[in-house]
Amino acid sequence: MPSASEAIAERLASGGAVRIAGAGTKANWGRPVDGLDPLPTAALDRVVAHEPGDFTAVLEAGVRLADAQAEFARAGQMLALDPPGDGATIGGVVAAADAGPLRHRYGTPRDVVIGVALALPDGTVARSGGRVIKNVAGYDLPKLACGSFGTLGVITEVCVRLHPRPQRTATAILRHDDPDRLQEIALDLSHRPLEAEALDVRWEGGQGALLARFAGAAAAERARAVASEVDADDEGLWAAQRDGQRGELVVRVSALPADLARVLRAAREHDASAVGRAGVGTIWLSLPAGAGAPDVLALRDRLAPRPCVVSDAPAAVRAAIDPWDVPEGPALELMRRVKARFDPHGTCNPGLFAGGI
Amino acid sequence: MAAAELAPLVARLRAAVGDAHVVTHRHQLRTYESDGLLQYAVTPGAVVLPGSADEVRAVVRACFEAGVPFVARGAGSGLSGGALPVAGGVVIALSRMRRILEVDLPNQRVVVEPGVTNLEVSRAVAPTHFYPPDPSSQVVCTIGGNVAENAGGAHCLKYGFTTTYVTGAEAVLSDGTAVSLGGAEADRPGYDLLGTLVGSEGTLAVVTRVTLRVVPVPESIRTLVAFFATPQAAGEAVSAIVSAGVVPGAIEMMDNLAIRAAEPVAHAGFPLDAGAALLVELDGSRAEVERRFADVERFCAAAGAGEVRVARHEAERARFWKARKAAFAAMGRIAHAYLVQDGVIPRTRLPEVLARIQSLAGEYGLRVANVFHAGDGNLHPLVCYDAPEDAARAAELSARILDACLEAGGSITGEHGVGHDKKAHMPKQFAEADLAAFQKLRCAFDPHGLANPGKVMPTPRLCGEVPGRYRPHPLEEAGLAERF
Amino acid sequence: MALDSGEVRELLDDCVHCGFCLPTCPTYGLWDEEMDSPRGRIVLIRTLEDGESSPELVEHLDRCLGCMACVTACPSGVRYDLLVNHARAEIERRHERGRLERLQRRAIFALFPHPRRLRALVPLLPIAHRVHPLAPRKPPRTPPLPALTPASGERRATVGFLQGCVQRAFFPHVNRATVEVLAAEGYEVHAPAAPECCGSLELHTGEADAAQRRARETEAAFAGVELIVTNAAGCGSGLKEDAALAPRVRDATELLASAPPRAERRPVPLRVAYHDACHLAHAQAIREQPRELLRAIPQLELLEPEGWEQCCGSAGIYNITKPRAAAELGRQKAQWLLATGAEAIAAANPGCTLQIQAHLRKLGRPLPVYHPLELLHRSIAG
Repeated sequence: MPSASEAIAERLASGGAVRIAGAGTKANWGRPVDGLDPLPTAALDRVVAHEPGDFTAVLEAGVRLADAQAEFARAGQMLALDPPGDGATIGGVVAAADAGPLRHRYGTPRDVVIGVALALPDGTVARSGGRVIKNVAGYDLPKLACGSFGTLGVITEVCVRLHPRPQRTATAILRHDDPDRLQEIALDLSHRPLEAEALDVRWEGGQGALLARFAGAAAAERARAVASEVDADDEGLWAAQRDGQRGELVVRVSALPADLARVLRAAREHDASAVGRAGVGTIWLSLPAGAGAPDVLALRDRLAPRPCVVSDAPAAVRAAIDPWDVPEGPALELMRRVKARFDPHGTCNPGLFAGGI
Repeated sequence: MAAAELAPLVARLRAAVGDAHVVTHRHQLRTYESDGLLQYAVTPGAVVLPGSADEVRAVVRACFEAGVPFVARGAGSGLSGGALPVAGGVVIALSRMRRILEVDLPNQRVVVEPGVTNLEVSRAVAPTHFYPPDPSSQVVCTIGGNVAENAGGAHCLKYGFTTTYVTGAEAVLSDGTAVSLGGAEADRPGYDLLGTLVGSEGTLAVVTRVTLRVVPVPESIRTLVAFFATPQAAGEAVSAIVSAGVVPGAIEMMDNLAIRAAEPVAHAGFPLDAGAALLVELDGSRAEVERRFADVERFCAAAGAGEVRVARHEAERARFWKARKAAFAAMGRIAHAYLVQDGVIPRTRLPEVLARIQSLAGEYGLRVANVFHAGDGNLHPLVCYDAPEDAARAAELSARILDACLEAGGSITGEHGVGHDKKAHMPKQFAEADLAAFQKLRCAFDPHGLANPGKVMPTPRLCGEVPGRYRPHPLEEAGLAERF
Repeated sequence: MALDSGEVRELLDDCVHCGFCLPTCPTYGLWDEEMDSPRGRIVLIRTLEDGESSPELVEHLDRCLGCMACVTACPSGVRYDLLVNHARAEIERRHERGRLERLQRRAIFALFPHPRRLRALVPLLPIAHRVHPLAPRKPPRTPPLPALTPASGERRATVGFLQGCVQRAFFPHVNRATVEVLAAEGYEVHAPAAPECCGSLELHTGEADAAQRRARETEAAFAGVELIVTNAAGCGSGLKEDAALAPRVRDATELLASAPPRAERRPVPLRVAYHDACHLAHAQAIREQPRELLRAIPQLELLEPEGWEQCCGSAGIYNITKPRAAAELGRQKAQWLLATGAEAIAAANPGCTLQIQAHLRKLGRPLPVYHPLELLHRSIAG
């Protein structure tokens, strides 16, 4: 009786090209590709293991992140990933390398995934990493899986490291409408050893704010040391930050902290709202109704050389321009070579990714 | 390769880097035979020391055109034989490339050449910032080597590993092509090839430039060392600390044998009769650290600590750490020879695996000192032996300890890498399909099998289609390798 | 003190190849090659011990400064000092040097260990440093040392003072100051003319037989005293390598710091950067004592230069046999010392003093270089 992973591998080896489906929360990302058979992963819904003493857990890829978090919370733990989209599966989150405000302190999926099982188009299931947090045996294929958008195989199982779940939180709020001032404060905060859970920027309707979230018994005290405006009931604030990463036409800018003012001015210019990790430099610009491909190209031009990736967008926009902003060159060539080794016949999500992969 | 066959390549290497930076005399070559593992020694055909990325490209291109494999080497301080030369091959020593190219403190980035030492990075951004991955050899090990091994260090449970802090790298592929992976920015689109490069042990490319992330020095650092009658008791303190949700900056354990070796070197005042020393360091916001530190002191006392010593100032903290970091090399003082092992287990399995190690040591009649990262289950058993004839048994005991780690659900290496030393163990941890996937990655980068061949993978494997004229590999001709 | 093959191999086996010595080795810092690091040199010494040799091998060992910074850094306690001495002696026994090299070595050993011959050069010194940058200044006229200087107050011990070769000829005022300070601190000082040289220069360059002869001369000269005191780091280090002499040998700062001071210290308002001589700091692990003595001088501000562990490049005769490498190290050292903003330098070894003086001069900042005992003398004598 083959395991769920093996069954998927068999399907990949025997059938034609597929579009891998989790909860469908990111179905409108990447280049639009038609005519692919859907490959659902909903059957991979088990929490295989949760070892609270080791702060690790093994999840099948179809487990919804929210359900996993509920399980971990019972032991006072959490998976330190808070991307938008309550329905997303862990496999989808990892394949898209999606992340939310906790990224500031805990990183993206590559920083919390310690092992992966990948069903490959040659019919095998390849496991890499392991179930221990510290591990350098073999090649770091879990990193490769993160952000690969299902183009190298189907993630069937993920082993993650967990963190203690903060009991108490409080958020310091600093409001300014001047992008330069916001950048100045953001840089100052990111250089202070605050150990904030999150350090975000919000920009909407020409008004800006920096949000610094603290956790722990002294959360409110630490927030007050940063700003006079403190919200101790801050769930809503951060839900809004996550929501700001989704929209009709969203461009994610991979910038540096000292680019913040520039990015916010670009947002202002295009009438976009923005949320993002002010201490990291990753900012999502949500463009208004009526915006289209020319706006994306203008943004890329203005913010070069920072990559500007289109995530949520109408198919027409994603067909008109390359959503990925990965330039031609040796690095992209190398990516094509990796694709050729793992998926020589283009079985998994072909055409979806950068460089036509 | 015999010296005469290598002569044309050597001439090209000399043209690329200058006569003074190509080493061919057999006495000089001997000094490059080993890295930090003296039990493996292989004489290379030539050692070349490029001074720039352009020279690295020219050197690799020359090796590619001659079909000669190469091994990149940093400080040669690695503990898995990763920099062990290929017999008659070329060693590319990156020690001359040791400039810090850029310090961008506002964006918290440092750009370095691969020969810069780990400690130099922290020094470059001191006193406000530091570079967290801190292997014990940080005074000598290079960033290039850290990238190859995905080096960890004592602070990695809280802070992460080298791969957490590398945002970009420029590297040379085995055919001499330069490639830039990642960049200064985080969260870039495309495959995370940079993530696969880190920890690839020099088998995918030669790194010529690295962009590193640095972070602010914590507001407060509090360090204590607690002494227990047994490692088991110390382990209970660790469990209590971790279960309470405390994430220490570092939590390290040394057993009695390790203490006795390290104390005369470090003069940290560790009692020579303590069964175990537990070094706990908390760092972070002052308010949280003070609160958690009191908790830690309580947990240690509750687990039966005979003495809890709190570092009163930086000099004392430095001495505590010196005792821990000098422990490996100091073992030479109490044993004629020893093997350093590196295995990982889930932290909760620590007591049973420690007991198993003790029982195995008894079975073999050899002493095993234990130094380890108690928070993440990364063990460093030091298998001691005195008579040269015991070397083989010590190696066997060392291997059985690794088996015990695997049986407990762990890994054969937490930070030292697979290299040459552990490749035979790879099939115990990974199934054939897993190894095949590793090979797919390796072949995508290096289809010609020139970059540090003979490391990581248990048996030599070839890569299938190789662009250009087909040349049967000598191993294939000899019937010793499968075409993959 | 010669080691047999078994002993040498045991010492070689102590090295675990960890590489902690690499960042402290000045020649590794200059050339980045394994062969010019302590770890690499240990492999070469093993090769020598296996009966092999080559001009390349000899050159890399010749390039070793003998500074012992690696001994300080080594966590495994490798006795690199013993190994390199043994290797140098082996090389002199077995290796045929080139004619020019042999001539140079013969000239050096015909001159330096002979204070009378050195003194003959003193009248030439005012112009000598136009010919050679390392030449010292003409020393101030100093009355000869009395054979016996009684202790002031209750006698703590009888000590024999080693006058040295270079020190005696070019820095007689330092010897005078040393004897007077020792006497003021309660030591009865015997200052025989013999030996004319302690033999350290020869010991550290592989002239094992000559070094042995001088060690025995030293033993004979100081047969009747409790302790043998020297104010030259190189001499103290060499003498401590002789099993018979070692228990009685003290550096002057080591001795003076070992007991509470007697004579009153008067102010010497001066900003002084302390230079650690390798043969004091690494070879003898004497780092705190000279600093303690200087800090006890009122109004003397002691400054710590960057790179204290790194050799100045003097290293015995190194700055004569390997002038380019020595010059680079001398420049670095002089820059670090100047960067402290000091008005003067304190150095406890005549070789270091000559090297530092030469390089400060080259940088256009010829600050005075004093021996710590000179400063102490000034403080006591007023």
